[in-house]
Amino acid sequence: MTKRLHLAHFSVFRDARGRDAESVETHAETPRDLFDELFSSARGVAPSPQTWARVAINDDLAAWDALLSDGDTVVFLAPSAGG
Amino acid sequence: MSFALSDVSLDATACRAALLAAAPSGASGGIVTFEGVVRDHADGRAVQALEYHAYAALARREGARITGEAQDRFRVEAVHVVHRTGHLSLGETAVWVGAAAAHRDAAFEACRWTLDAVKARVPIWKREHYADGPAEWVGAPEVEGLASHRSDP
Repeated sequence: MTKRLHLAHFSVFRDARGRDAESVETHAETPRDLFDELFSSARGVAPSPQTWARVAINDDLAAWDALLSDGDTVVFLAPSAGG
Repeated sequence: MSFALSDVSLDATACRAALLAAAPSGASGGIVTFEGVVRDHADGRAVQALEYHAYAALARREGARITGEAQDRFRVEAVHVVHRTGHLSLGETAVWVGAAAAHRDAAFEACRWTLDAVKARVPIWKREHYADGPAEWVGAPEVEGLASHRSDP
């Protein structure tokens, strides 16, 4: 079933998408599905985003296999580099 | 216990006052503070400036978790963190961490642990501007289709 998701992008993901935020219509069930859909060109080098990135749903950390719901806000998190 | 983001230059005196405001009056015999400052080089390359971008809602949430965990792990009266966002020039303070405790050991340990946890867990990203090439995001792996980066020691 199609759902509408809101995305905010930071760091390398913002560069890759060329925008700070967007809304997408998708069949993705999980963040992993959505990552593959959005960043398919990156899969050859980093097939497992779980090994180097994190994901947040509705402003809190979430699992890569969490189920997405219509209206969710999703953010992919590159490794932090604060400090 | 608190964590804040700031898009303007950090005032160490104000940061220290915020730390002490969270500590019971007279209970702290040791205060350890750390300031991370923008340096002019990284991995042998000349750095001209930095940008910090934060996912603010989650950064505040995760930062508050970290300062709360510091309270549980160490015998501290208060821990306070302020992290910059936006464009920073050389010499500017990027992050301020303070820990107040009855005794110095706990203050030193809590300050160090908190800084390391903030660097590892809070969703803040650093973009370095170099003298000899285009700016790069620090810490992200090289991924085809995404921007180029380097690792941060």
